[in-house]
Amino acid sequence: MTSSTFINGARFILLFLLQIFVFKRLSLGWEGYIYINVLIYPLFILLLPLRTPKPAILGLAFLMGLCIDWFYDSPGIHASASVFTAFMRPYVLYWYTPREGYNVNYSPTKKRMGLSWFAKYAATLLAMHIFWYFSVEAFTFFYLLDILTKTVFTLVLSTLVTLMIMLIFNPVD
Amino acid sequence: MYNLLQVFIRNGSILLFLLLQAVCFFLIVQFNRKQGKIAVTTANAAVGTTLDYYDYWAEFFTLQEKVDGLMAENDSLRADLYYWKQIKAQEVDTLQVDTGSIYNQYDLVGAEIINNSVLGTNNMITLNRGREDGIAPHMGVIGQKGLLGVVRSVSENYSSVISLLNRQSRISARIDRSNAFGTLVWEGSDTRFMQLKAVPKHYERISIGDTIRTTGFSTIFPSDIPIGVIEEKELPKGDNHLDIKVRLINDIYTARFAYIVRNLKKEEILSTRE
Repeated sequence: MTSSTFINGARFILLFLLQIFVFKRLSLGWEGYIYINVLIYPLFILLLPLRTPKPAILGLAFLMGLCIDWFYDSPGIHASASVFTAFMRPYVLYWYTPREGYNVNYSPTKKRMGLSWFAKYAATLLAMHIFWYFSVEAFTFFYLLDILTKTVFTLVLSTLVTLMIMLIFNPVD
Repeated sequence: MYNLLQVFIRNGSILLFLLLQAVCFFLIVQFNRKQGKIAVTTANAAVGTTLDYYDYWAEFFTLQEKVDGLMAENDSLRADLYYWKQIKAQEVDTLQVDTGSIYNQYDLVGAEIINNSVLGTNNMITLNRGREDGIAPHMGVIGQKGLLGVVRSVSENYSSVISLLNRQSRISARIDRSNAFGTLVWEGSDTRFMQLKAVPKHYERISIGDTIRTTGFSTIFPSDIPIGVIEEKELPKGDNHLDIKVRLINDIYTARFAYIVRNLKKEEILSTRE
């Protein structure tokens, strides 16, 4: 229990620092369109142990989102997307239940669940997170095409970087 | 009562989800409505200080670039300075006007950009100058080449600026030669262009390549600062106003330094309008 608290606490801090000091400055685009953004902090929500109670996931996600918002000058927007991701996590886990079911003592990591399972899981939740983020950011669906293009570009790169992080560190839990 | 409790327990996560979303939306709306909310932005003292420290260390990697940029700027400023000195000398010689009052309307405060949010459509910039340096909301911010934005709120040592690339920004601008003027807005996608709105269609002399400058009507910016160049103009069907696409001369995303414009005669100008 304590070791998983410690691991997740450390992950919270590291992903937060990585997001605001490294990936925040990587926003790129071409021809004046800023499409390429990398959001990796949702990985924290993705990797919480399977036995984490739902309210705790929501609370932690809210906290993470709020911390990111501070540095992105966007009060409430990242928090809103994170809470949504946390809310959808149990449903996505349910959709992708492996035949033999889950071991509730594990975390849904690449090492435990396999690369293709993790890629599917991460891409689904990141898609929800990013689409929610850009929708709330625009505050209207009037700019739907814009929201969708930004979602697609950000999703592809964020998923790639998330998978790369998993391949490099390959945490067990 | 027991049934109600059961409902809460069974749907706890949904209710908590809705509650947290409500808090988020409250924050979003609050921030967009009220000026001067500083607690949740990067101009907040703790966050600003962290970014300042980070910049201090990260700076070493881009030092040469910065020095080059500043030297180029110094060169052009020096050239301007000599030019204006000559003009001023001539004016004083021939016309005997008191030029002091004209030249001392604006005061510039140099600042470094410590945060430039680029992800969304409502972009903000954070500068490392605040109330203690005499900065107040509604002051204009210009970059090394052109406009950057308008100060939205200030803390002791930092200020939060609405970037030109923000759906909320409205800049009063005029077109060289024709002297038509309108409002410059950003439509939220392409960071190279802004849209000049509300220019009546009877202005015939507007052509591609004309320079857009500030009007100086608003007491925020001095007049005649270049903003951009006309890229396209078009008259939408059934509309009495031209749709003008302006290419910005300032690359807001790569800007490192900014100057905050203090209008020393703002009070006086505003008092005449009451």
